[in-house]
This record gives sequence, C-alpha cells and structure tokens, in this order.
Amino acid sequence: MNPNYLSNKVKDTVLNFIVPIVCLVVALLLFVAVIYPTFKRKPLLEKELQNKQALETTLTKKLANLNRLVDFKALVDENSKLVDKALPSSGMVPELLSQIDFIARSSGFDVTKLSYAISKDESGDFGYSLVDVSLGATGTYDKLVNFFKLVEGAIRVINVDSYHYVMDTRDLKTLEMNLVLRSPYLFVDSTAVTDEMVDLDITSTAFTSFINRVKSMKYYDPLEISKPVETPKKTTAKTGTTIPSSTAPAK
Amino acid sequence: MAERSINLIPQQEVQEQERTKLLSLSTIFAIAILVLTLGVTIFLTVKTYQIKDSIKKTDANIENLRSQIRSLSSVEITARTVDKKFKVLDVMFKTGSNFSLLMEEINARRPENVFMTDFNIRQSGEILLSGSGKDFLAVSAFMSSLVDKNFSKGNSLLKELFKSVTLSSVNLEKRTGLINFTIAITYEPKLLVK
Repeated sequence: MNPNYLSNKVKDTVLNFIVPIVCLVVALLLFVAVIYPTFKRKPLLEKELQNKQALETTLTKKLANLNRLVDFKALVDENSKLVDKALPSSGMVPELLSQIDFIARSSGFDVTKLSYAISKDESGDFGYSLVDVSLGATGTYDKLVNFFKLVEGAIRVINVDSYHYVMDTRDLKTLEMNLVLRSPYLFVDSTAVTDEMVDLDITSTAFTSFINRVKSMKYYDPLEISKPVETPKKTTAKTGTTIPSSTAPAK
Repeated sequence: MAERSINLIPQQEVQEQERTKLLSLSTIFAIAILVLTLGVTIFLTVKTYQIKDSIKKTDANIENLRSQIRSLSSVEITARTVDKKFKVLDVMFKTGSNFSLLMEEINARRPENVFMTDFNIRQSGEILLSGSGKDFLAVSAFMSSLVDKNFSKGNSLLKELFKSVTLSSVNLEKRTGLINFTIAITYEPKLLVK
C-alpha cells in the first residue's frame, strides 16, 4: 500500500471526522457546564448586586444624616425634649389632670368633675394611646372660649373631642359644661435598626416650622402648678366602670 | 447551431469532490461553533467575575458603614423617637379642630335677642343647638346669618364654616313669651385647623 495514500487517508479522517466531533463535543460541554448555568445565574447576581448597591446608598445617606445629627446634637436633644413635652411617652395622668385643672381654673371655671380613662387610638397607623379626660365645670360662654384658647395653646396636645353645655335659664349666662378631652401619648420602642433609613431632617422646613410652633406654645410645668388636684376617679374605657381612686395612674 | 458543454470528469469523481467539499465545510462549521462557544464562555465568565467582585467590594463597604452606624446607635434611637413623634404631632396639628374659633364665630353670628341654651358638639362636624329667641324673626335671622357666606362681622377665614342649618323644632313658650328652638348645624372641621 502507498504510504502517502495512507497518510492522506488518516489526515482526511482526522480533519473531516475527529476534529468536528471533538469541536462539537467540547462546545456542547461548554454550553452545558458553563454557558447555561452562568446565563441562568447572571440575572440573580445582577439583582443581588443592585440590592446591595441600594443598601450601600441607603447606609451612606443614613450615616451622613446621623453625622449631621451628631453635629447638631444639642439642638436634637432640645427638640427631643420639646417633642416629649408635646407627646409624652407615658400617660403622665396626674400631670395632665393638673394641667387641665389649672387651665380650667385660670379660665374662670368652677370645676365640678374631673375623671379619666385610658383608650387606644384605632383609627390611624401610629398606634398611640389616649388619656380621655371628662371635665365637668360651670362658667360663662366667654370663659369657655378662653378655656379652649388655653388648651389649644398648651404644649401638651389636648384635643377637644366633644362638649355639651346647658345654660342656666334664670340668668341666661351661667353654663353647666361637660367636656371630653383627649390627650395622646406614644411610647416609641426605638431600637437601632442598622439597615433602615433615619428620615429625620432637622433642617427641613416642615420640621423647623413644626418646632417653632411647639416652641410658641405654653408649657405647664407640673412643679409650678401649685395647687394640687384631688386624685380623680379612673374609669375603664371599654366598660366605663368606676375603679377606686387608689388605682395607680396608667403609664 | 447550438453549443453543448461536455463534462469529461467521471461521475464518480464529481461525487467524491462534492463529498470532500461538504466534509471540509462541516469541519469549518464545527470549529466556528467551538470558537463562538468559547467566546461566549469567556464573556460570561468575565462578566460573572466582575459582578461577584463588585458584590464583594459592596459587601465590604456595607460592613464598614454598618460598623460606623452602630457606633452612633444612641443618636439613631433619639432620631427615630423624635421622627415618629414629629409625624404623629404633625398630623394632629393639621387635623385637630380649634373650637375657640367655632365658638367665637357662632357667637358673632348670633343676634343679641337669641340665646344658645343647650349646645352639643362633636368633632365629626355636627352641632345640635337649642335656644330661645325673642321672636320667630330673630330665630330666622340667626339661622340665616349662620350660613351667610357674606357675613361681615365674623372671622373672614370662616365665612364658609357652617355648611347647613336645619330647624328641628320651634315652639312658643307662653309663660316667658320666648320662642324655643332646636337647630342642627353642620360645619367644616377643616376650617378650624390653625
């Protein structure tokens, strides 16, 4: 047999059969082992990267915000105290009743009844609690208006829920009043949640005007309200049952 | 006379040439597939490596930021508390009614010969009011002035405070000669927000 012919035959076989088969097998292996799994995994990795970059941005902003708050620490502490006076963390019922009694007397009312109950705000998303105060008093129309003005100007938030008066028809002047006042309080169970943004911007217009408004309101310091108020009766919000006055005020 | 082309190569040789050409083409095609696959593999591997590298660097940065934030946890707690209370108070300030405004406005619109003897109000925007008047005209004047949008003596911002007035009952009391009435008033609580 001609050796050249044999050599050509082997060469032809390698070129025409072995090389294509090897190429296709290697290509198939690459596709199965690398391309397909990588192609499938790539969107997940991209999504993971996006999420991490978003978290990184949030943390960067949060750190910048916290550093800014550190720079204004004295102001933050002052604002925190003001906000606590307006919306305390506990009911502070004796202080609240002293304040209402003081305002009522300052307005010229003769207070005939003062009781309270604790309830929970169910309407909003904030989950604050309420001290519902029932105030009975006698006074005049002008005194009632004055009382409302003082309540509206007090730093601790007191909302007038409802009121009812009956005029004494003998003098057409004296009013027998029953007012339901509601004062919210909110306990914030604050923990440092590292990955969540802190939204507070003490330099924002909204916050500045809010703080200015709170500052313009009057704080009734419980220590300065000299005349003590008799311990009122506590009634539960749901049943209205009277509980002995010795019951400790709600916190 | 028409020309004719004569193929002198034997038929077997032609078939052999076509077979060889086809085999060469299939080899080239297989190599091209392999090159393309290799290209895609390299591209995807590099891309994946880059993404993984970015994730690693971002993770390191996140951990660094977290440790810095943890050192400011007391500031964060204060800020969260103030922020939450601020949001609650802001809503309250924007929605709470100032009844002193309402009482002043209703009194400004009351004629002198009308007395409001029984007054019941709720935050929902309803007032049930009983009173006495010198005569029917005085009661009527009171009702008209409440819903008068051009009333000049009251607060100019509260011209549209009272939305409707409905007379529930009216009767003449012979003993005093006064007209006793009961009216239901609806008002706009949003106007009482300072």
